[in-house]
Amino acid sequence: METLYKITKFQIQNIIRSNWIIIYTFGLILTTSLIIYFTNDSSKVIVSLMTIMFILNPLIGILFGSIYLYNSREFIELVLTQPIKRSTLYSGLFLGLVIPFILVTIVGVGLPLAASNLIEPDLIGNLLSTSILLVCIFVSIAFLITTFIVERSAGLGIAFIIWLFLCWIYDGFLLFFSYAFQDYPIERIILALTIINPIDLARINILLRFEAAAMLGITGAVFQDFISASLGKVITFAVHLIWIFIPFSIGYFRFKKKDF
Amino acid sequence: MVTIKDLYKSYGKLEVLKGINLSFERGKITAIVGPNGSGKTTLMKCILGLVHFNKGKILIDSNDVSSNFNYRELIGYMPQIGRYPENLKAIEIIKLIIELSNNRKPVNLDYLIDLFNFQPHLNKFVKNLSGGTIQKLSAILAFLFDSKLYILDEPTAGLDPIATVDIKNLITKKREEGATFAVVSHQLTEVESFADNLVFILEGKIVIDSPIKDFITTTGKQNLEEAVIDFLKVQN
Amino acid sequence: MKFFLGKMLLKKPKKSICINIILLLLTFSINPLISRIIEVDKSGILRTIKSAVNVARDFDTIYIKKGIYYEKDIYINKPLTIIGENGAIVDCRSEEGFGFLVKTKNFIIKNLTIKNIGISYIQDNAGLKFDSCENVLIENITIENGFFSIYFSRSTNFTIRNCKLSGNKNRTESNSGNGIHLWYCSNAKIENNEIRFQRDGIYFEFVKSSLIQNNFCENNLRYGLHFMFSDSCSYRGNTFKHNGAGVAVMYTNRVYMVENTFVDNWGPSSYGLLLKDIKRSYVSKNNFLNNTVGIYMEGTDQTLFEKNNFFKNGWALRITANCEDNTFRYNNFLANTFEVATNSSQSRNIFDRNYWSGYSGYDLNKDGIGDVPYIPVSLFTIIVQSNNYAVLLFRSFFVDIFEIAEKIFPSIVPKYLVDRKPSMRQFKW
Repeated sequence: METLYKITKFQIQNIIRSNWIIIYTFGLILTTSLIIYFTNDSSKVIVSLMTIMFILNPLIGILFGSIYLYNSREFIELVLTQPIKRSTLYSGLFLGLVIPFILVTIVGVGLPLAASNLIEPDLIGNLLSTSILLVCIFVSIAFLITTFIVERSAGLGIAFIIWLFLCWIYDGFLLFFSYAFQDYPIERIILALTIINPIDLARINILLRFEAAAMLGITGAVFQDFISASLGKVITFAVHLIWIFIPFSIGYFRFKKKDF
Repeated sequence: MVTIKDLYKSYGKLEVLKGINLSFERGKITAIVGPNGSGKTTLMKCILGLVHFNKGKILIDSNDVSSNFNYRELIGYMPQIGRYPENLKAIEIIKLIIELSNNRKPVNLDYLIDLFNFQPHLNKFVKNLSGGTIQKLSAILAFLFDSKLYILDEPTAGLDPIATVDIKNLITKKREEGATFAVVSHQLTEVESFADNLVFILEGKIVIDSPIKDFITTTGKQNLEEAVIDFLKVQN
Repeated sequence: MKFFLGKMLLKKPKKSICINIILLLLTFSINPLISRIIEVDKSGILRTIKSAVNVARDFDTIYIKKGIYYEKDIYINKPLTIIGENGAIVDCRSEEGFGFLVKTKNFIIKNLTIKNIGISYIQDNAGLKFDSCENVLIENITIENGFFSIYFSRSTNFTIRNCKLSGNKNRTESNSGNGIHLWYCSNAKIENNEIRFQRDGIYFEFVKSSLIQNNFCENNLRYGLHFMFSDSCSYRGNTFKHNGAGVAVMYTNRVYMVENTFVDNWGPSSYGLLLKDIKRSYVSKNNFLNNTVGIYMEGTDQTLFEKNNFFKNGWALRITANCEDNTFRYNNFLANTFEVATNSSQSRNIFDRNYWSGYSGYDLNKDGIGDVPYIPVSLFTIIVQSNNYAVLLFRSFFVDIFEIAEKIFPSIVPKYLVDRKPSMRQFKW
């Protein structure tokens, strides 16, 4: 535990001093403030922020995470020659990477939002936590990629494709699917497919908070249940946790077995 | 000190180590030499626990490498290329390694800082350190503790002549204090100047394993370099 | 008036007029003397309302003292005034039957609570049921746990005001009745009532020339207002909140709908306002807030929609192809998920000078009118129209990119539904 704490601490120290993170944080603060300043309509603000938090943030998470891990290869080796467990190092690396991202999100988006008083605190909390979960997911995918793919450029390419798939291609597929099987009872399948994708799930979870009117236009009891009951929130949280857990633990086992 | 028995390692179809049997004598400096891709780095990584081998056994002072990671506190390791987190200061990295070391005392720290004139670099960020300085940092990290075994991968590569001499003296000093060394090197002249034993690896097999002096004598050459070249010609 | 009378008396002192005035004054003053007040009291001589009604003569007043009266089917067939003391309650104990059943002219009932009307699947049990009545005033009546609350059939000239009507929260549509139910009536005035947990808050069928004003209908199981075959009626200043399916106005000409608020009507077939087969009507200064659909129109013609606010609805307007010659002008469309959806393939309605928050055009000549026409139908609206499930992709990166592509290379979105003079500024109505 102590070792984990030490590794995490050093890692955080290293990352929060990185120019990239500092620039990104200020960029977020600036963008968020500008959005708030130029659009007084709270729902427009949320929509714009959703793009930042659910699309851009994951991209930065997965790319920065992968680059960071590829760059740390030699240092990881050195640390591994010390009398510590590999699993401890892995978890420390993960926490050390995820915590700065959580801080960046809170400072970059949360602070300007809270200061503006435009959106109710409850919804800000929901936005931030969803975004943080998403970043954790994409960082954990970065861990998965870098433990399997040794070659840096290939790893970064795959990271980008995974991001593109989850935030864009997948939705296209979903739309195609819903057209193709429109005449069949695909309600459950569509809902399940939407929930499986962490970005879609995050988006819907937030939309339900302030644009539920349209969402409720969907016919079908399954949607109604998911949308109206607090079940939706629980499912969102659970699915996101699974998304963090699975890549993390596959990477974890790989890391333990891996040759450096 | 270190006993390696019948060690095999392959990456997929590529066999890298094909039955290595070797021991590093206590208090001696063993130079591990071989062309690129011969398996010397893999062998070191096996000892360090960075690489999981397929078959065989490595014992370090009767600790089985595969069963427990704590044996690593007996080892000081200097990698060939040191790359450290850019936004940490040199001193912070030294502290990290100290903190991860199971409460070993960094008894040599002050001595090393003096030796390498490292004082002015301690509070610099890694990204602002030159290649040579980073190499010195690697050396400091390797020699921080009084370890029983030091594994050094090309320790003098990239160092200026003064630092090279310093590191050689350091090695000699530590050996006199009773430490065991395994040093990977390309430069046979350098090896000859400080090593006791020579291990020559070729395509995953040990082809030479003998005290350097004996080896030179048996080949009848002037120095190690000529002796090795001669030996390789004979082999082919 | 005084001045006028005085003038008449002084300058044209005609005998006949003088006598007439005196007679008029006499009738006013004598009337209370000839009509009696009959008290009903739990501990008095007349202990039931029924007995009081029995002894009452025409135009008497029955005063009900405080207390709970377990009575039902109180039948009234003569002109009466019934007034309750504070705390006077009629409890029908959820048994079959009516609270009051009235068949007369000139009836007034005030300040009374009626409770626990029985459910019936055969007859329309109601707290107050009126059949073939004229000149009725209902005021300050509270009905709790009602089935139907106030029910009028074949009646004219009546007023229902300041009443609080509620059904039972835990019932379903099939075992609930309506709050105020009018069938074949005319000249009704319904104002300042609060109606909750009924099937329909207010129900109009074959009603003429009536006014529904400043009522508050909330949480009714079906419609807040259910309005059919009722020409020349107006409703204004009402609030319809969170009713099962919103408000339905159907098969009617010349409806006047002004200053109403339609809010929080959510669900797959729920509308702020459903207009079906409506002609020559006027919809103005209404607020549509947070409804799944603001206005859903089917077969609606020649109707003017102006100065309405559509705010945060799923769809502000859904217009089916059989709607013609309607005009939408000076409306505010703010922060709706979808502004207009239609399945029409040609332009049959006019949009003019509305404010659209989705508009991003410019105004170079500073006349307050955008220089670029605005098409309120988005590509995604069309996708969702043909594929319900696609709503799940709303605000997704995928759809955003397609929307941008469509704006640059328009190919799918229809160009006939267009506001050629979109307002640059939000109207203040």
